[in-house]
Amino acid sequence: MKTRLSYKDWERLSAYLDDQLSERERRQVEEQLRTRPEYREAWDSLRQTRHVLRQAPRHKAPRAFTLTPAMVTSHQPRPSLIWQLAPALAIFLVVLAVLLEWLPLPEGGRAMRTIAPSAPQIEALGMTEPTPTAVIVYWGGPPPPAGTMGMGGEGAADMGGGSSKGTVPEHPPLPPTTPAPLVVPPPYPSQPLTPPQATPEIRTLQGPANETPNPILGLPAPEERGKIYIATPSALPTPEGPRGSGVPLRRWIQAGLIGIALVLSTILLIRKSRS
Amino acid sequence: MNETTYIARALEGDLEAFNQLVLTYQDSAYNLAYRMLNDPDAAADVTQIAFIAAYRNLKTYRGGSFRAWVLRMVTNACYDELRRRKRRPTVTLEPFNRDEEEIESPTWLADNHLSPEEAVQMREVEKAITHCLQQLPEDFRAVVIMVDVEGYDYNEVAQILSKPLGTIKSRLARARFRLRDCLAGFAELLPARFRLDKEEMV
Repeated sequence: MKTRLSYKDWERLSAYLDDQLSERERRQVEEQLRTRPEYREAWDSLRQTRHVLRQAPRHKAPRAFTLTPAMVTSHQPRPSLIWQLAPALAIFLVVLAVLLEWLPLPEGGRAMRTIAPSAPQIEALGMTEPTPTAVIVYWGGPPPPAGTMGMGGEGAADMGGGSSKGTVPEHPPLPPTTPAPLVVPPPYPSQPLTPPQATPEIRTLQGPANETPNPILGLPAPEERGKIYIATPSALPTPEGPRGSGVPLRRWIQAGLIGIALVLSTILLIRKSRS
Repeated sequence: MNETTYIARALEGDLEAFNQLVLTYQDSAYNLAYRMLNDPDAAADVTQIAFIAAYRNLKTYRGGSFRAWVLRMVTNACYDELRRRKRRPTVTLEPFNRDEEEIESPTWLADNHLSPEEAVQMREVEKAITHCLQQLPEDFRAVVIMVDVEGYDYNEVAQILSKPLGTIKSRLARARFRLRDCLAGFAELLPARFRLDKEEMV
């Protein structure tokens, strides 16, 4: 029963069956029917198919479908304009929420942001620009002078195979970091500025007791063992003070728009499922 | 009165004139819906809905075949119903007995004009055709029902479905190709009168 005809062949045969071909196409099909057995077989099967379908019993309408005045006047109440426009409105709100990402906001919007002082401001305030808060750990004290850290420094004498027993100069302890009070007219009078402070912490550690002090290896002098200095520059306060949940106004507006769109869509879906 | 007069009066709001048109085309409309949906109750509902829609949209009728215009309403209503079914699948109302076996002779297929033997044969044919039609995609099904079952010509089907003639030809060929394979599975069950003799085929 299976034949290897293309869909184009089937289409032509089907149209030929209903006499829907032009004279030229009809002659071509008849030629194929004479010369190709599979064409003939396909043609027979199509005719058989149509014959069976034409025998399908017709059903009488179970009742008269005539209309009564009540049928044609009982319009369902049209949904109000807001519900007709609701899908478009929901889409518009979502698009607006996305576009808001690139739209400039009025000044009021910026007030919600956490404002960090700009470089000129920092300069005017005599403050040092805060660096990323990397924790620097010194074993037993402040870092040694740069000259002693290279291979040619004095410390390097102690780094060989142990033949030289040179002495490592003791490092002076860090001077206490007590910054001078900063008196600057605050740009935001309501909230006074506090200058950045380095807040060294000293933590005691249990280090090995009988090691030779070595600044390169980070081995502290005996009297400084067991202490570490951690220097963490404190963050610059914002003019508005620290803001834990610093969500900009833009985000609130976007969330609001998307929220309204979601509520609209949900109500629409519920209404549609009920109808 | 002829059809044109009824249409003209219906366009003026005469419901009685429109009902005359309903009576003329209700069998065609119901049969189309029945074949598309394979459910007599749904077919009746869809037919009624289509006629109501036709009356309300009568002003959109721009001349030409009124049957094609009405059947377009029916076809659209059928598509709506099929979409609704896809959204909310329901259990088909197949007739079952108490043992949950399908009843062999549903009462709605009974035809008092046939002998018992003919009735059995018709049931077999009906079952085979219905089964195979339901396997087709909706667009193919609509075309083959209109052309092969209802006997409409290509141009009218193109009007009903608002599709070009080439689309109708293509869909019909594909539908017939698929039906050919499907009906071949029922070949032994079909009574002799439903088979073409070799001589008849020449």
